[in-house]
Amino acid sequence: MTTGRAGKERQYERLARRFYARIYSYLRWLCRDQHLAEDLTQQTFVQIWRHPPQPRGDRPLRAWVYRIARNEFLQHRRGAGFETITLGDHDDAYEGHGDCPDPQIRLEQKELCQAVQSALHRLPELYREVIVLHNMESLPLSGVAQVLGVPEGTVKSRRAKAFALLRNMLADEVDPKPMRSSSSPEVG
Amino acid sequence: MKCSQVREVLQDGRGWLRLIPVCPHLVLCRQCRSAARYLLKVQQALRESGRFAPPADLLPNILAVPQYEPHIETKNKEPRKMRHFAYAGIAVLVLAVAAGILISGRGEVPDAMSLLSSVAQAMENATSIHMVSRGQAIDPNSPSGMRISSDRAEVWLSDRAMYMREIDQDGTLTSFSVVDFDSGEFCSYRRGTLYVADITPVYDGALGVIAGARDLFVGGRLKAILANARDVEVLSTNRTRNSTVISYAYRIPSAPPQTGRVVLELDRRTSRLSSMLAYAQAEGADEELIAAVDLIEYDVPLPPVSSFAVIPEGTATVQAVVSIKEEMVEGVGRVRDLDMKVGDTRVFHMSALAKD
Repeated sequence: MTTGRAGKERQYERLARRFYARIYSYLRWLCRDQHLAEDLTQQTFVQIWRHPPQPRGDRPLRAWVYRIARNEFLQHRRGAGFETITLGDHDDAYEGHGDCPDPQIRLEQKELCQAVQSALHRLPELYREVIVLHNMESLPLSGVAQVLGVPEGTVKSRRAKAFALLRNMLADEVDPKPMRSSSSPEVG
Repeated sequence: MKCSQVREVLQDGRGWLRLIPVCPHLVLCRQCRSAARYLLKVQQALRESGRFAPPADLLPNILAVPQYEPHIETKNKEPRKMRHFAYAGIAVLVLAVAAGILISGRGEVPDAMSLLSSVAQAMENATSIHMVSRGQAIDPNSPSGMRISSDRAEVWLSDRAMYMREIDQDGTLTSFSVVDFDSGEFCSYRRGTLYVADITPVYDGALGVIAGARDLFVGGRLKAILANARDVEVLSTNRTRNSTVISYAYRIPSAPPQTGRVVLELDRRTSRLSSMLAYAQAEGADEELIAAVDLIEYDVPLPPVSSFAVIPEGTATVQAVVSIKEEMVEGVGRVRDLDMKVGDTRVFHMSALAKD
């Protein structure tokens, strides 16, 4: 049982260390501005300090934290006449890793990553945040649904639509050529 | 399994265990392999993109919040709620696939895979799952990784790890395996030897090998299962009035001919799976139990690894190496090999003739 200020501070510190980088990255994807993402991350944790998580069996902690961050973002956007930032200022900040020893493959991976990131930035926010939360932040569909406040089926259809849009945008980089319609067994 | 279901699983992009049920379909369906190739590339790129690195002063600023914010007393501790259990039910699916239960939906007959998926869905709220199987002599010809041959086998699954151990009647630990999904590490103890492997290359590459294949070469029992998967006929479906016990009878007509039954028991109140039994009968042979999960306990905290994976004294530790190689073979084409070796001994291998 956590009681008193010391306990609350320990709990807060655990939460902060666990989530601050994820929340910053998530907000950076949402608002596409480094300094704003920094401010909103801090604001998110101020809210967490003020209103610490209460035990509730039906509410996963991770989705709860992301939801607070998203609310902070929406609140800011409503109040600030939100402007999106154009691409180009984010390439250097990724923690992406290309640890393949082959420089050719590393280069190809880097190019593909850049193409995917660029395409992701061009996706409408509705679809982008599903991909960021689910495929990059590894939130389960139920968690994404809780963060966005929509049914799980809606998350699924947005995800499918997002991948379809990405596929069109990435036609040159990722080349899934149409296959023959035959689906005969190929087990050899 | 239908193409739409496969695409849904592929779009998920989390955890290689989740992909096991779709592999047979990918082997047989070119369109889905094409889609898988695209999705895997994009998802790999998304993973490698990583996160935006936070500025160095962000954490200190966040940690300083309590110093300038008023204290609000709270009596409640943080709920110990792990993230939703993404891999719930996968062990059941793994057992089902291993047992050759690849029943596709026909007409109005319920699709067994859909049922298992809904069971997995029903289990998703569990923070961890503890499955125990007792006293089963499992088909000795099944793939060794799936065989439960001891008197008691226990499996724990959570969103972070999967532990499995087998204990003999006299209480002796005969084997254990630990898969850590976060670090991508796999370790397995069996008969005095501890195998340790980094499974990240498998995670990243195994499905890529399948998805990028023009032809695929799979050996042994798995080959027979995959080759026959499209020919499975559901003979009958029976369920009790309240749908707590459902059984499927199936037949695989082509060689080797086989019939079988799968019996699933669901908890009426929670709709959770409470037991699964799979029986198979080769032509001219007696029916035998090939897979069983006879007790599933829900919401059991994950045991600490230290208490689970006690390595007996005198155990030799060997490193298993997983690699994926690609080479041009004259007259054949580009061949991709996935290998898992301990020393010079190959413990797992898969070859694929890559697309041009």
